[in-house]
Amino acid sequence: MAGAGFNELALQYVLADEKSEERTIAEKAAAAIETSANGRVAVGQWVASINRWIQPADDANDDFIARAKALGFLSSTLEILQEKGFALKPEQIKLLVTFFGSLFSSDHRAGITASAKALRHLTRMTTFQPSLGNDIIQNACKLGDDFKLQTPVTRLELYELFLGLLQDPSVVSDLGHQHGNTCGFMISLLELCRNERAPLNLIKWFATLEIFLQNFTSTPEVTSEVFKTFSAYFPISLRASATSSGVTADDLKTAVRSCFAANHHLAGLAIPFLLGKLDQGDAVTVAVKVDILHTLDACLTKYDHPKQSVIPYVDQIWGSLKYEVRNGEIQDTIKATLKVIGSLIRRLDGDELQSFLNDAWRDLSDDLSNPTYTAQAGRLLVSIAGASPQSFKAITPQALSHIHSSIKHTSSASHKQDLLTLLNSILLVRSHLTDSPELTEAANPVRSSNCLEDEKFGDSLFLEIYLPLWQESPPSSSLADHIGLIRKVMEGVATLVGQRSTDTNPPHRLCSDSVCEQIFSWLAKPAISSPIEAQKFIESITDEDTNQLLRESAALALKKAVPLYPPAFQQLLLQYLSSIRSAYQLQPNSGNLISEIRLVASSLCEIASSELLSAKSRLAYSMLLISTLMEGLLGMLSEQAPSRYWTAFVCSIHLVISESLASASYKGAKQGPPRTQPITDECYSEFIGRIENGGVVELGSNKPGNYELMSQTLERLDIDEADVPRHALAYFIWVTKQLYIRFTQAQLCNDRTPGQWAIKLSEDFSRKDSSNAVQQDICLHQTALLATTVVRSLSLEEQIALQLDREAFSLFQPVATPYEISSLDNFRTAPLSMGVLQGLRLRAIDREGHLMALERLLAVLVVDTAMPFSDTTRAALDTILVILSNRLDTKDRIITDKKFEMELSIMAAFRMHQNRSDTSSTHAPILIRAYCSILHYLAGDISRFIPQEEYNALLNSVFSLGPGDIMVGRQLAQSLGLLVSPKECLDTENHAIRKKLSGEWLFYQMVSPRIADCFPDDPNSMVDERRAVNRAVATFAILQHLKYDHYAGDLERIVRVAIRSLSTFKIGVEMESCLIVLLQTLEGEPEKLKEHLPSLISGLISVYDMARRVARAADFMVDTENVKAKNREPSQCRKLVLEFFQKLPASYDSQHLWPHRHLLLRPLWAACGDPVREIRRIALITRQTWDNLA
Amino acid sequence: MDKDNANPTILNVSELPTRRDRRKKASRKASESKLDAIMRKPQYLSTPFCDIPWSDDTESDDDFTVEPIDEQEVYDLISTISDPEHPLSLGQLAVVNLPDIHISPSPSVAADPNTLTRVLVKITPTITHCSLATVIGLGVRVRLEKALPPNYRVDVMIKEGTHSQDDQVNKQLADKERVAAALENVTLKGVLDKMLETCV
Repeated sequence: MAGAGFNELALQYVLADEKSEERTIAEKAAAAIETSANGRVAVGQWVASINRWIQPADDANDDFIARAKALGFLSSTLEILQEKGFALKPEQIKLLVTFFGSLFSSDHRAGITASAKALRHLTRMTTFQPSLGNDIIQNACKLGDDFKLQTPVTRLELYELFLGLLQDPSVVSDLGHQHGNTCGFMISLLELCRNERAPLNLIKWFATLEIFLQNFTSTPEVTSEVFKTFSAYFPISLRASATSSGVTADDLKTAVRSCFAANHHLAGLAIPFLLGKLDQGDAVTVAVKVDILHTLDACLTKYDHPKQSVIPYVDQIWGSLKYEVRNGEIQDTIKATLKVIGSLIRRLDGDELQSFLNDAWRDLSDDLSNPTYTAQAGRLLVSIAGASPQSFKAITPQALSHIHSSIKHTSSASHKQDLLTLLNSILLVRSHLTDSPELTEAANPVRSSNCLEDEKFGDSLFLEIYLPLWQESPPSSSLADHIGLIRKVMEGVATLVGQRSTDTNPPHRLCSDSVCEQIFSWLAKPAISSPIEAQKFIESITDEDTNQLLRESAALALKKAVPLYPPAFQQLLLQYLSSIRSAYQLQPNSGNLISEIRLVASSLCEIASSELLSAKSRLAYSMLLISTLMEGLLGMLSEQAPSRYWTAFVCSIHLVISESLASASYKGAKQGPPRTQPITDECYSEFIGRIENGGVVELGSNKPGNYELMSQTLERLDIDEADVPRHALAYFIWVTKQLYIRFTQAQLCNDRTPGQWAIKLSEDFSRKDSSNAVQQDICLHQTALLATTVVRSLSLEEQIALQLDREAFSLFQPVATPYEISSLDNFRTAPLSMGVLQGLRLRAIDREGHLMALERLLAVLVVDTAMPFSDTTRAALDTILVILSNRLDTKDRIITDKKFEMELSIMAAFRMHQNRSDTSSTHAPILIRAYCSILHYLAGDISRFIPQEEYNALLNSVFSLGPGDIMVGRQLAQSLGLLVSPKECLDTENHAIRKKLSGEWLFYQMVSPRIADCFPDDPNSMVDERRAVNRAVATFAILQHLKYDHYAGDLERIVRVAIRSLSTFKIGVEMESCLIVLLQTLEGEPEKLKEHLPSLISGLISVYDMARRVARAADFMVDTENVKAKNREPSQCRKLVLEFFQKLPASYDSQHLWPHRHLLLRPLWAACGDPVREIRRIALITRQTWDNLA
Repeated sequence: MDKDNANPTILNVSELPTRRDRRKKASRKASESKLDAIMRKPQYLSTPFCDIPWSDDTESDDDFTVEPIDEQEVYDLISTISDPEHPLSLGQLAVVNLPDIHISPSPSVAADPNTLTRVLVKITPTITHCSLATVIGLGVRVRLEKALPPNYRVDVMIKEGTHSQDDQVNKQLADKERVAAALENVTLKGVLDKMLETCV
């Protein structure tokens, strides 16, 4: 390209507005230089292209903007050349350096930024000669006082230039060679860059100074000058600015700190300077003090040659710092100070360390004897001991004997507590040091047989200090102090158990087994045996909270200590069992014992799922714990204890299982733990075979556990960490099976089909009177919930491999049963079947069996005679109906056809049932129950609805037949909510099939078309009126469970029905559903209610009055249990009404509400006297809101 | 303006009388709540048809127990009123105390909601020459009148022997017309609003 070409490019560049455009032009110029045959000429033409802008004119005509842009053209081209790795010839670089360097003295207005940029790119080129670095610095320094007149951005370019130069080792060596240790260039730079304040520039400037200090050997004078420069900024802070530079105060602090710590030659200046600042006392704020301490810490950690840089100042540093801890009150400062002391000690060695420790001990020993300063001296001592193994070994012997004698002689309880806290911290520090890399690396010379005073941290410490304190009898006064002390002892012994030796042989535990056992029997008392046996751990404690505090401390100590001494867990479990046995013998009907069985089990469960344990140990611990709980259950069953005891154990086992499934190593427990391989029938049998021969408790065969054998079996189990979840689940299935087998038994039923087996409840359930039946049912339901937790964690393949669909009906008994719920014992085994079915996935149930089960269940539930089962059993059967209908595989044609047939027959059965002339009072409840069962069946169906009309005939007829019934329509309408009410069995957690739009679908298909029927055709006809009200009841029964968005589209009509319903509904579930929908509407779209406000407010006021009258009438009822239930519904209505009023002022402007204020204030005032406290509270808030209506 | 009593005795908020069961419920441990979750009554057993008693603990989660307005409730209404001088509540300063609240006839569930009920609150000024005793009494009165139902009559008095001019203050607080006139006074109304701001 000829010179004209460059001229053209330069012109385009100067005229360009966009950055991208500028870059394109610069790229063209760079390409032209690269490709030119004669580089020298091309470069000459390129430089000459900006000639027409380069001569500064007189001030008035000086177009320095264009000139700056033109220079920018050169620097941008250089940038691209440098990026591409193209190097100009050395002499060209030299010429350019001279040219750009001259601009520093000749063109302060336009040339600086571009020159600095251009020079920066030149210095990065491979052909750049280091000797030019000095020239650049000298030229730049010619800026003199004009430097600070430049904009911060321009100065930043220069700082980057300087930093770039000093980062180049060849330039550094050349500068060192040229200037020697006088470092003249630095003096010039210091002169130039004085008074910099822009944060971004300071960061670069401090980095430059740091590099200088690290790389140059300078005279003390120069070092001192540099020190003065950066120390003048200390302590640095950042003023809030409108234009954020992106630099934080912490960045600046770190940058200055790096300067302080850059070179050990600075020690003589930096350390006294920092200590001087620190000793200013109250004049220094906390933040500054912390900054000083961090800086000092950085210096002490980074300085080389500690003998020259650190040791001379040790006394001075200790002298200043000890007071920061001794008299300090601010935690942040104290923490930072202790860190500095640790760093200081780590730099000392041999005699210096010893002499420092001697001095320090002299100060500390006095303070330790003085109750006022013990805590502070303790902190200092711990930081010294914890700094390194050497300092620990040097200071602990004297410290321990001092603590020992002080504890013995002091009479102050708080002093004792402080000393004990110190001792506990020393133990923690020792554990920490034992695990430190210095001691764990076998080859490390520091490691020796006794580098952490092994012999002092074993039984002797326990016997000399902890034992006497524990055995001290509680004083009559200051019980709180004594409890504080006992809690400290618990904390201490928990750490003591874990102390290990440091010798090169495999490390061993320092405490003997007998001491460890004693410690655990101590801790077990407040955490396990005292609560179970309903004894007070310390007799004189009267307050329940204090007792609880001690118990929690003991449980916490156990949680820490058990992983350190694994045999203890078995000891605790045996203690748990024996305490339960003896407590039960004393007081078999204690409610407290039942709740303590669960609470203590939950503490033991926390220990078993501790994060300190490996996954394998967690499995072993959980297995041991579950086995113990089964042993407890076995004991209660053989004692024929009330079934509430059984429930307590079943719940505890459930807790252990669900904690184990949820614990850290099995992430995503909801979908079952991740497993390397699935559980197959073979591997399940093989693993369980080993377990069963390994001493576990077997409920079914009444076999008690053998703990020794069990522990050995668990130790021998050869399981990979990754395979733990699989084995855990296999074990949990086995546990479920054990419970099921124990609670049931198989019986031959020859009456229907010869040789057919059916399942009934075991003998355990027949031994007690019928008043216990409810409690027994609760136990069965809890067992079922446990089964669900286990079954749902399995994958589909596993559920099929283990034939869980069959087990759901045979209840794990080793006999073949048909796919139906056993009718023996009045269907009481239904909850157990439900438990297994609830966790099964789609297609886990055999197709034929699925349909058979569904059909037979419907035949049992949709009948016109009273069935013999209890309400709870019926609830379980209904739930099974939901599950079975929900899990039907509707993609399977055979299933859908069969389903359709089944629904037709249900419909026919119900119609016949409904048309029975016998509408006596005994028949009505049977009809309602049958209707509810159909609703349950449909609830499962709706959740994964099929939109085609022909599949929903049953649903349609349920909507028409139910509320349309002239006799019991109202009750049937109330039940319709069951279709969409929340159900656990339809949770996705239980693998239910749910389609997202089911709510909307139901509303638009079934509810919306019937809203018109909520108004009577003939207002004078009683029958019409009754049907309309029933329809409205049905509508709101469903709407209350839908989301607002589902029905928002039809709101106008719904609101009209609601207003009418306020006067036609009874106070109770009906009114409640209507109020819930009104509240949801008010929250969703208040505008839609605006025009109806007058009728809504007056309607709601009368609802409140009516609800209060209903409640008052209920008060006269004799049956107290019933009063409670009767009271709930009116109270709920009153609460909802008041909540509606409370939300109005937030939803509308006051001008819309003002007309109603007067009408409302009096009823609200009366509502402040509502019989229910919670409602009074809402009434008061509402009254205040309306009172203050502006 | 100098304060009448610049250095009053202050009670810790956690030590003030309150309904104990609430506190207990709040401080349950995490492991216990996990246990509760395991033992909860499943939804399918909570339908109207099978309302069986589930847990063996007494069911305390029922919000709808019928409880009359008692002294503790009145105390809770007024103990959060701010003192006009200090940034502290009347409960913390022990100006209002639970034993100094009397309700007659004594609260009972069976009482007819229209029975005329009298609430008498005796306040204890922090010092015997407290000039703000009347304002505090007025504050207590306004708060209770706004919070209690129409069949309640409120009387506020200075506790015997705790104020040098208790007769005069009592007379002012009992005089309906003077109370009404006081509430018309904009400055006084401002002070009262400020005091009642902290009531919830």
